[in-house]
Amino acid sequence: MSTQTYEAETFRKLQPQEYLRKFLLKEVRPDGRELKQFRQTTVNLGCISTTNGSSLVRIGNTTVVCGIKAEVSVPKQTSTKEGYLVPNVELSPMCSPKFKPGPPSEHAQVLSENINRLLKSASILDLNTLCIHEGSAVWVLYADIVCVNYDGNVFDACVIGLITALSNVKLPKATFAEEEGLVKATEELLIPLNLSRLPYPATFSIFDGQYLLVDPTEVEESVAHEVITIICDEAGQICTVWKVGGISCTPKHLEKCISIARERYIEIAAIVENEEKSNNLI
Amino acid sequence: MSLNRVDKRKFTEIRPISIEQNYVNKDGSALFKFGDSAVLCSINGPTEVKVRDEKLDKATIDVLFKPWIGSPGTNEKTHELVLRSTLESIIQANLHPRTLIQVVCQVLMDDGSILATAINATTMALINAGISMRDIAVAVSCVICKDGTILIDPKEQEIEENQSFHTFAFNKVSLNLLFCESFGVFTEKQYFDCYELSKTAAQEVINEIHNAIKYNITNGR
Amino acid sequence: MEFRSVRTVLPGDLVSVEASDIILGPGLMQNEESIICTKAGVLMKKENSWFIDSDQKRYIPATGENVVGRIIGKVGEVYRVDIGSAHQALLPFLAFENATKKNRPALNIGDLVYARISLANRDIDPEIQCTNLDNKADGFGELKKGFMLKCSLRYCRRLFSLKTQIMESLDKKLTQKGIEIEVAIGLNGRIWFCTEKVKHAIVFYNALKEAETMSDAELLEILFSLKTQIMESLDKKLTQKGIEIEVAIGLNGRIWFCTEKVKHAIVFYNALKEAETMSDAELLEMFKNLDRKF
Repeated sequence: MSTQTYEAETFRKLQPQEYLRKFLLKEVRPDGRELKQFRQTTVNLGCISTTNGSSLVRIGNTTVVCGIKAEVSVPKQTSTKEGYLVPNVELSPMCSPKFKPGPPSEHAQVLSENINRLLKSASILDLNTLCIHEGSAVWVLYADIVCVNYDGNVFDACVIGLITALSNVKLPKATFAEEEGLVKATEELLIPLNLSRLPYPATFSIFDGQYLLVDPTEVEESVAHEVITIICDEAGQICTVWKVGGISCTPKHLEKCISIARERYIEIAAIVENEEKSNNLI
Repeated sequence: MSLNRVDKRKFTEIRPISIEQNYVNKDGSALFKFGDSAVLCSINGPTEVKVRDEKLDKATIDVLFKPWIGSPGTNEKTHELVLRSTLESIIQANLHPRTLIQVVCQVLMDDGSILATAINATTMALINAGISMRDIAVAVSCVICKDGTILIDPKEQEIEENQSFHTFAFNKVSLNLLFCESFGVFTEKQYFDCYELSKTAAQEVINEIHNAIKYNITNGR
Repeated sequence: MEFRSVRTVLPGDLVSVEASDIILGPGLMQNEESIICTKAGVLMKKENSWFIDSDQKRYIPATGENVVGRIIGKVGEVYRVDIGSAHQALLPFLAFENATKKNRPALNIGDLVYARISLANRDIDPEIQCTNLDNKADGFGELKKGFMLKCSLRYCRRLFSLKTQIMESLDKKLTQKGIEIEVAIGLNGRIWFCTEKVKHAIVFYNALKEAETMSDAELLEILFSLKTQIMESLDKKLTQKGIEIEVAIGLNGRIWFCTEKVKHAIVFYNALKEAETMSDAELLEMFKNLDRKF
């Protein structure tokens, strides 16, 4: 072993894994958090006035904006009463230099796909409630989720952003005038969406097969490839378990993750409730 | 318990497995079938890599997933990410720095549990290509019915009828969880029931793989 | 002592070893206290040496192995050679017998060479040379004319270890008939050969290709090694009776024979077919008694 001394920053760049390991031996993380501690999370509802519903979510330095825009469209021939809910995640070069301009990266596509699967399989929004007139007009909700600043755990931020933005959506009362074939909407009467459940996520990384890191940052993500995401709802039921990479995950890890995810649910629900209250006061 | 699955299987029974190696003329290839779900996987490598994708300390693993019908979309991209991250944790990529290991999965028939079939096909193709691996991955899917029964290795029809769908991949040596994808609404107990049943089914898949390899080696294929 | 097979293994299988100092060959890896298989194949053992006999098509260079390569470019003082591995091999101009700065080898793009790997390291491009360790050509160098075929690495290794036997018997038989054949077996899954007539090249190519997937190759090898013994005993007995029989045994799963009378051909055919499942001793015994059947 050489006894050469480095600046901490040099050491981090040369030996990112060893750098993290040194911290974890002392049960603390490079940003001063405990292993089981989430970063400070804030939710800001209705921050974009041009959308029908929006929210801005911050988990530490990771920032995600979700805006939902409603348009009127014709339903599918096969399901004449169902509207559409189209989520799309965008990771632009703005949020991190590791993303290149151009068509959506694999990472962004996987995020969109997983969010779409969550919406469908947990039937969060009954698409039939988006019907204006059967066979003629339905609402299309475009949920654009844009990452503004990337510092790890962007999936959590996206899901929280989408769910809170959906609960923030207020659609105008719309009627279909059959003779003219037009949809008429009044801005005076706004109706919120009826969401069947409000699932919130928690993401974990396993490092070295033994350290369970809650809410990993970008630096931690780049060295700990074993990632577990658990999404649960208000009743404590699980909506998604997503685990990729690594070979050291056992049922014990999963049990621990699920129990932490439930605690995290309560935490996020409280944050969202506070924000809703303060929003209503204004 | 009555046998009321569409193809008269038991709830925890996997469909008949068929494995064929050296299917196409590549460095390694395999055709893996779970009943009527079939995936052909071919491997090229370690071979030359584009400078852009070159990694100085390990091989680059590139996965292409081609669907049965239509062109690849976000679903296939997700499968690619899953396959790649699973392979990265079992292949000894550090033995072949500055090279490319290319994996191409083509779905030949889709009758449900296609990702599990693809993972198993990739495992067989990697073995055929002689790529050094620490371990092998085997995968099994299952669904939870509305009445709570768990069906292992579901057909397409069974997936459509049920709400929560799970795919698990395990490693052979310690049967730890390599990959898990569960969507739907389910309780913690249901999840771990699925986990245990899939693990048992994965052991059966491992046995089948072992037999197939033994057969191929003793017959000089 | 020969290597003997222990069992078939899959990647990830653990090998239990009692001895403390052991030699690990291809396909095995040490992980802390345990030995892990990294390839599927047959685990082989000789005293304290272990390795896995496995098959693949992609070549991974290893120092000291003979390879057949194709020149694909010239850069400065070296040729770039395709040997089927991930990276192109480098063949310096001076790595030939009697080569000097002024006396350079004259190889063109597309030419084939038979060479020895002099340097193999996963972080550096492999280097090859056309001389043995004593700087003598020793069969290495340009492969003029001829034909190259690709096959699996395990098959090449098998042929390479049997090459003296195969070539001796080929030589004896073919030179009598005035056919000359030159063969170079590369351990990188490439075999080069050259014959005077195209017809012979085709026959040889087919034989090599067929033998690759043969499952009862061992039996044929036995037949091959027994050939002289069989022929001697047959010759003595049969010529006394005025029956002449000519036999050619191919390693490719084909046996040719010629008798004067059809009757004898049938008897001989049946005898050969029967003998297929017999042990060596039984086989010899049967051929010794063949004359009675005639």
